[in-house]
Amino acid sequence: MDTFHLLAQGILTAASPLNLLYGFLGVLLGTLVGVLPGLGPAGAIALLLPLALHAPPLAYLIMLFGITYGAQYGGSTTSILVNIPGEASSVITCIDGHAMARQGRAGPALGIAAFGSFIGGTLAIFGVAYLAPALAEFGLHFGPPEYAGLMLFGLTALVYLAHGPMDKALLMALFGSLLASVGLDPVTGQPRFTFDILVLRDGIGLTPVVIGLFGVSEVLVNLRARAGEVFQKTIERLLPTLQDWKDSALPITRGTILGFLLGAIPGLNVVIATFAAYAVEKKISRHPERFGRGAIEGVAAPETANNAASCSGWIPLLSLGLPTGSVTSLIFGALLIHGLAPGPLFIKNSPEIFWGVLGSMIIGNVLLIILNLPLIGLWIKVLRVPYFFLFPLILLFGIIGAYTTSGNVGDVVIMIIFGVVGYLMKRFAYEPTPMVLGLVIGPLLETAIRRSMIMSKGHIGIFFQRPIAAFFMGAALLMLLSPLLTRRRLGHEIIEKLGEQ
Amino acid sequence: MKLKLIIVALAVFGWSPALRGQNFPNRPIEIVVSSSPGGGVDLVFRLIAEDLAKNLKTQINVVNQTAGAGAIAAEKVAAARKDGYTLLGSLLGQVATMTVANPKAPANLVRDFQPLAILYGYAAVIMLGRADSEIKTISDLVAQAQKKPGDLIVAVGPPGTSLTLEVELLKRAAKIDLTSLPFAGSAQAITNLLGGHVNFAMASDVAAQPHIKAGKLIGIAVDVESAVLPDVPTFAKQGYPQVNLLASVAFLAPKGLPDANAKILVDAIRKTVQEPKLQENLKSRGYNVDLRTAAADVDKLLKEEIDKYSRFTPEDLGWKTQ
Repeated sequence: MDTFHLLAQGILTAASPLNLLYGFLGVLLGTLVGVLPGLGPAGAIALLLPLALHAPPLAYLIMLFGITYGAQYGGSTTSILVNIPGEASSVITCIDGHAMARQGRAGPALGIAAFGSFIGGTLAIFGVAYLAPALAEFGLHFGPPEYAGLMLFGLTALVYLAHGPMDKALLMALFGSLLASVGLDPVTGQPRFTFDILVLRDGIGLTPVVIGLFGVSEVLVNLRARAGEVFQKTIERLLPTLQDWKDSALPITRGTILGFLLGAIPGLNVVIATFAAYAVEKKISRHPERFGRGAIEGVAAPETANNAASCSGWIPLLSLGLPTGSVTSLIFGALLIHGLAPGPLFIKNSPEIFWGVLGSMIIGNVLLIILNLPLIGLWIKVLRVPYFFLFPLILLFGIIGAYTTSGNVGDVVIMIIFGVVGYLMKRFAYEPTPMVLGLVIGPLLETAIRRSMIMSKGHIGIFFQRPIAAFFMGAALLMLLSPLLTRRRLGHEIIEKLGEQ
Repeated sequence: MKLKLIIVALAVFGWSPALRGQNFPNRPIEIVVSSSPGGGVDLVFRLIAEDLAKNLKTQINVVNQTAGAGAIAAEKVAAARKDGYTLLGSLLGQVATMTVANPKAPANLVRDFQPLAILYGYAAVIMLGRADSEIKTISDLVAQAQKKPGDLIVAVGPPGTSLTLEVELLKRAAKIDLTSLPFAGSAQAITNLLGGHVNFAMASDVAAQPHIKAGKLIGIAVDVESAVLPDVPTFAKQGYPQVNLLASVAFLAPKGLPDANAKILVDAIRKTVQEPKLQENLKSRGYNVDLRTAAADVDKLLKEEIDKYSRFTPEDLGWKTQ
């Protein structure tokens, strides 16, 4: 049978009443944990793991997968409405999504996020069906030097993530990577900046920092400011206009491709794909100045990319049996519980599971778009809920989220500390996004460089002798030097700088 | 939401603590597992807890507490009430490394814990090579390493884990120089071996098996005979008995629980693990089922574990304090 028939067969399997029910529960739960800041798919799946011993294998897996991509739909909701990302992969959506909400365009922002998620998610499933084995092989070419190149290239995206002054953005990125160095040294195992505090040995987690920086700080800012001024504006419409669609069509296409490719590289955080998608849009836009002021492309591209990336993120697990992150490791465990050893022969040996899950993802994405579009009207009503009621709730879910990620009170303390840090950053106009970029890329870059240096016995040539690594190193250099080469732009920037002063 | 889910789970699967006349256990037992949910250590405890709950006629909650490389879980159980309702489910080596690195720490394997049952050598660590390489055995590897000291690269696990330390033991025993390249765990190590970025990789046998079956990788040696890869010879059989940090998992209770409660737990664990259905279940998932419960036996194993890790410095074990 060819791929198309296998996939059709999978859809039929997934459409059986039991599988459909589990699938619906999965995407519903996923949307819920996605919307709630702090709670994420990993926590929900860990909680449902004990059920694995009782539930039918395929239906159970359909539910778990449903949670993962359902969460990518929900993540943008709070980013847009209250400037607090529901998931780390929706951090970047805060910038333009929330700006749109402030202009009374929360509806189109939520709408394009949902449609983008649907398009990116669905196309990526076909991508996985047709390209999984080939892409898995491609992913294997990424050893430590290739990661180092890719991460260095990723850092250059910083230029496009910053809206304010560059020096402040650099400072924040540096701060983020410094924070990432807290914990056990990944190579020697020696503690760094842990001050003999046990929790700090595990490092500073992304989730508590993101909830603190965005969630807690937003609550603190609103305590100080007159609450409720933002959303007095009338909400014009609930769905994107024709113009919105025209503006978003290409960003959604590019977001799908970029997210899909980056997601397939083992160990690359989905967050990186969203940052990359945003950076690309701003770079090629004819009006980059619109970004940060409610550009719909700034919502469409990253929200598409995170769905595509989280879908192609299954490739290393499903076609090679290699879990690449906390969520994939949990699913790996769930497969093992059912006696299904994921590995290179998984698709061949358990076709009903592989194609059943893929089929269910197509159904699930349809369910999600049906579920999410009517919800937009409801979410917008949430904006009318007074802050004194909404924010304690956000704080509560933040605390639960920070706690459930690791089951440790230490993470709640970290969250609160970063709430205060985030508040101070907002007061003094430092942007949190570059800091998140530093926190995500910092540890990947560090381990990649140090592993490369061990491999090469200290010769820096390793970054330039291997073709993929050399390509990214070259691309990074080009990105950094291009402003110097394009003199007109440099001149423009200098004039702009002088104008500001 | 967590609470809701638990309630739903309870309602659906109807675990209710049987209120019978017996004194122990008459309320839920908590097993604190110091490894992440869904992993090999977690899974073995979940499988056993499932049937153990039926035998003890009480509910058993498996909770994961991974912070501080397992130290926080160990401290929590060490400080818990000594009644048998709070147990630590842990990789024995994990608690042993903490103890060796800092005997005065709040949780000390020998001072604070009473081992109830040990699943000895519960899973094998395997040294993998590429199927297209000439090196098929440990003696091939040693010969090659002697020719080109430091040129062969082994992907190992995080510092202090048996994936890493067993390579150190091999280096010492064979007097060879290999370059250890640390990764986050088995999956990453295997990925880099498949990609050809390293020459060998240390991994769990369960994670490695599909790749050997697919003909991409070969098993060079295991530290203990593997249930899923019975054909791969041990380090000991190939002349290096020193490479022996066998991974065992243990049910540990806080020291000083009443003998009667300990006996009920030990008997129930023994009975549960001896049931053919669970044995089959564990073996099919790649676990070795060598259960030790006799008091003299488990105490000896505990001391052996400490001795094994005493061969390393706290730096090697990844537990040096600042």
